[in-house]
Amino acid sequence: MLNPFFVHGNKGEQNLVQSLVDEHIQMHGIEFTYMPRHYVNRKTVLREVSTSDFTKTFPIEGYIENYEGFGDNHNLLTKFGVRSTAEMSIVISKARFQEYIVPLLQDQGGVGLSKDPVRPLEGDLIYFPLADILFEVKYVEHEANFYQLEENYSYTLKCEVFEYEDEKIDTGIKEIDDDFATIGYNATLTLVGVGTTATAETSLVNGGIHQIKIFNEGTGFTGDPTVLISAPNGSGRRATAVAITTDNPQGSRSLHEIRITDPGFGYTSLPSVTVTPTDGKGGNVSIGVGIATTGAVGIITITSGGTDYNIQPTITFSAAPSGGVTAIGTAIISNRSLTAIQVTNAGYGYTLAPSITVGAAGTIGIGTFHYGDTIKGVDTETTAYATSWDVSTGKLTAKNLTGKFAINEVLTTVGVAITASYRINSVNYDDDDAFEDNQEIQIESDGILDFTEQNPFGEA
Amino acid sequence: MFGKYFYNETIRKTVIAFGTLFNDITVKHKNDSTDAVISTIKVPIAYGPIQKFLARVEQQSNFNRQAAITLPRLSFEIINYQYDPSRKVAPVTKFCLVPNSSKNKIKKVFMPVPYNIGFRLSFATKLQDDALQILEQILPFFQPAYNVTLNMIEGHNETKDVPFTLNDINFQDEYEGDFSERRAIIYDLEFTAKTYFYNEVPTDETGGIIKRVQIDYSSAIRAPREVRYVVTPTATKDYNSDKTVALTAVFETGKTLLKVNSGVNLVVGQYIQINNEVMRVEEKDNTDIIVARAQYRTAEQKHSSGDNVNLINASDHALIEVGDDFGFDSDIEFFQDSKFFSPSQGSDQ
Repeated sequence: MLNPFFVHGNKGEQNLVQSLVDEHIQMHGIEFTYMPRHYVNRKTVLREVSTSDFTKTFPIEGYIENYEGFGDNHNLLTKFGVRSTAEMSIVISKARFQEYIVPLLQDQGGVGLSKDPVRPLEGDLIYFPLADILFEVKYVEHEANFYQLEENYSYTLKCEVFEYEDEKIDTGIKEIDDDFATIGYNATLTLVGVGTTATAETSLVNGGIHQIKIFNEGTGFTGDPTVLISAPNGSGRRATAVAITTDNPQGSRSLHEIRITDPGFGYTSLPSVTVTPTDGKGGNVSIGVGIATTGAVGIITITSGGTDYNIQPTITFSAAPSGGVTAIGTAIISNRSLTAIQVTNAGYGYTLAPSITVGAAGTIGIGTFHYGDTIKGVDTETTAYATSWDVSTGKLTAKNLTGKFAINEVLTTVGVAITASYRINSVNYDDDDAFEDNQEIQIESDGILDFTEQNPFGEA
Repeated sequence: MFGKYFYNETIRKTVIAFGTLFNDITVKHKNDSTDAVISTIKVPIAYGPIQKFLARVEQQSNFNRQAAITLPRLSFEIINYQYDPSRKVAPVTKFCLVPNSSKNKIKKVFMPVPYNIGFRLSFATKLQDDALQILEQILPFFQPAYNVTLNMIEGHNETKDVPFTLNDINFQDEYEGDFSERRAIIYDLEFTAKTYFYNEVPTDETGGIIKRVQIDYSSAIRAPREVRYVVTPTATKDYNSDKTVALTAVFETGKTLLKVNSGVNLVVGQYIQINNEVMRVEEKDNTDIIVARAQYRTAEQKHSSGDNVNLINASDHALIEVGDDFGFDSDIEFFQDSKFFSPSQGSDQ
């Protein structure tokens, strides 16, 4: 039986030792970046995590135990190329990990297998900034102090250089991410500008609808209501318009604007305009209509719909002469082409039909790609994520392809604020790794192989 | 001792042929719950042996080693050479090699020597599932051999079917032991390529096709020749596209009278070719020619006015190439001049 007059493992003493350990590491250690592994897919039966990603990072100080370096001969030439066998043993504070990293991980629902992580896990990564190397934690030794004052105060992380396959490493830290822009399998896409710009023309009408203003947006709509404009009294053509609704705070929809699709002509007095919901739900709108006696924009004809409009282009009418009002229009696109121009203001006072300028579809390609951006082929729906982008050559490298891209399809970014959009000119599925010789072997073989039938293994 | 320098690059070609079988293998990772593909990796392949400095300079050019290695990877190398007695032929036998540049010439070279070259294809993966994907993309093609046709000697029409036979599969999956040791999954597939090594190929054509056979008969040994029988090959198609005359009217199928712009150079009994049809001249009346159609197994076809008429004559006989179909022309002469034929002089003496 232990001597009851001696206290073993007094909490205050334990805390003191822990503080000394923390202070020692903070004085003599270096700043590592801890990256927990997120399991994307785990295979049953064969029992392995086939896909992981690393997107969370936590700076933590650590002390390098192997102060004499990685040891001799830590770069080996193998039949699979040069392999680094560097190992590192890093001591981190147990308290710092548990007080700083664990709560953050638990707040986010944990990562990997554990929904309630309490310690560093094997398989997690740790970035060594001095050598720009990513280490994988192979084993966490938690008893190195062996219960001094009945407690352990540090974790010793036994690490090896990370073996990389297709794990997505997107930390937002340039020093880490840029290492993985080139290594690993990358397909190279050559992109060119997309699309041709649409053109449109119009004529002038007298006595056409100039504008339909909304005084009260109404409420309770579930969709866009129909707009009916009365016919002109004398000879002329009945105007048409469409209503556009938007979500309102009441949880339904209200009128946003009324666009004129045909201003008609021959109106000498104000017509009546009625807004009718298609399902009987919604109403209480109040609108006013104005007619242009002379020189309003008439029916707009799309002379060329253009191609590859991925975002709505701007519509600009040439300015009306002094005393007039310049027309304002909105583009309607469908299947990436301009299908119609609706006007919210048909203008008036034009003496000549105005010219209509449609915004460019991106004839030189628009947007840029950043590391980690998800890209998608519009036709094939193949996705990948961008790893590097050279705007001068149009070369985009990408990883984790879910299929094959089609030549000439439009490539866009997904889920980013500003959508990039280009057309794929060519795709090289051969990696540019220094070890890789797939394409070179294929080129050499073309001269000496006589495949009278198709190579069942495929042509690289 | 053995003579001139030559290098047919047979081993290098075999290495390339072996490598190209496996240069388009991919590995896919899926989300097992949705079956959606998460990533596709085209597995890089390279010939394993490399200059050490080159490997270091290329693969760690800036001391970069952000990762230990990227996987999966395929690597292959030669592991042995063995003479294959089962394919042995008589050592002094020669065969005719036809250069691509002039197909009416031949080169005589010794029969190639059969050798088996052993290859080892290895692949290292991070996941067992990756290794199985690669393995299952390879095994179905080897029963247990897969034949590849190789152009063995550059510039010559010499192809050989080289079977690559899968002999053995070994793998290691080191998952037991100390946690600090990394799991390594490496598969080794051993193959045998049955290839051939060729001797020196002469740079000059050492001979042509035999185009004249002459047999002299005499009544006794060492007596002057009295009868000579000569056989020469005749072309069955036009080689030189001489365009001697041209049609002046459409020549329909089923018809035998054709009209040309000049009949002077056409001789009764002569073969002519218009487009792909060979005909024989049967009768001639100035520019009206009666022909027998579809000769030498060619098909009768319609010919247009202005189409060229090519003669098949001695000029074409001289241009017959190795492997072509040809006919024979024979001639018998009788002598009473008591002369002997001198093979060295090529004339009667």
